[in-house]
Amino acid sequence: MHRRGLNVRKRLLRIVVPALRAMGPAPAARIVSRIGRIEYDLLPRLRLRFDEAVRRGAAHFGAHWDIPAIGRNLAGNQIRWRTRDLLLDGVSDDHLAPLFDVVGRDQLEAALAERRGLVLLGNHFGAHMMPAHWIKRQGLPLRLFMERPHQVSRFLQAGFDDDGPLGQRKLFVSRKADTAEAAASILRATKVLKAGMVLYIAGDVRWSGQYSVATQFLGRSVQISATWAVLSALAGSPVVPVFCHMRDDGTHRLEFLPAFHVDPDQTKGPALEAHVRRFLEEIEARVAADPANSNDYFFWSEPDDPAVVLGRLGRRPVATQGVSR
Amino acid sequence: MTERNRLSELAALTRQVAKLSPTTLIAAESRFVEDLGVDSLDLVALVLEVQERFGVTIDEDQIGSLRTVGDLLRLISEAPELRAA
Repeated sequence: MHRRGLNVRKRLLRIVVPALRAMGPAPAARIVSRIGRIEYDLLPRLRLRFDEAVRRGAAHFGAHWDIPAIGRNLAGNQIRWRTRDLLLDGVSDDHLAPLFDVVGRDQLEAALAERRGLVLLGNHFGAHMMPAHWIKRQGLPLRLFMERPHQVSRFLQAGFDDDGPLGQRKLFVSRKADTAEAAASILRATKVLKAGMVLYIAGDVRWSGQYSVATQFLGRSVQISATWAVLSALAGSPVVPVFCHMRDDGTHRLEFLPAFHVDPDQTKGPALEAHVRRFLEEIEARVAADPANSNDYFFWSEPDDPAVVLGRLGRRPVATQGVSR
Repeated sequence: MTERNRLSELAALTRQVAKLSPTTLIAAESRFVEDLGVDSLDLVALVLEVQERFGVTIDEDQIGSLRTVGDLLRLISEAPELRAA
């Protein structure tokens, strides 16, 4: 999506979202998706972009997808994805519960029962900020380890400026961090885990700084952050991968996978690479099964892709990790 | 422990954590990144080791400004645990 178009959409969403909220989150999500699908129907250039993106995905998997049908659904899901968790502000816990069909809750609870903190391993498939929102709604102590997200609910933003020893503010990572600052950032996150908290971090972030792994993803050569695995190794915390699939009816399937550990001696080398690759394979399997929930990946190599833009500007990559668009 | 002994111990720890060769000269002026090739993960491991070995607590906010072995030595020497001793 061209940057200018994105900004217009963001502004529009900011105006429309409060009005939609009054309808309830599931109907509001359906309307947001419908807006995306109408855009797809009415704007030939946008339609072409989505169809091309889906076609690239189909070619990678050797799949015979219905390109226009998936492209149209992807357009609907992508705009919904951009609302992140904004539609959930003001929704009571009772009304929130039916929005999530939670699978693998026992996996999450078993990992929490270890009382060694928890690396909640997110990704950009489906609704990427919803797992964080859901976790916080359960009353679990949550910290985000990512670039500071801006378009998120007031509920999630509460505490973003907390400056205490385990506060959220210092856990937001910067793209300008040098080696010492990156080390400080890792130590802070380790401390959060050792205090028994849930640390939400994405495992599909393109990165060319330290703690990154060169690999293939959807047929492209990419460098992916391995920070999550390093943190698990340093803190001895279990890792629980989570996926949040957006459904057409405005609800979500929130799926927690079985926990695993990263050994203390796996902070570098082939073992670290294997952890990262295994998680990417998990994501690829979901993209293959539901390409219309692949809101970001098919567009990675486009000209306004942040990784491409940074490369063009000759900017240094972030030292630890960043997420969130 | 004298400052000189402390530096000697810190140099040994740095050598061990960053897997530096015995011939690499480590002085107070040595810069972690430029001179010793220490990456941020080594630095994390070093700080954790230092905290354990010297019985001090190092604030993460202070780590961001670490450039040399001498900087880390100063943080150790100024740690409240050692100053109280």
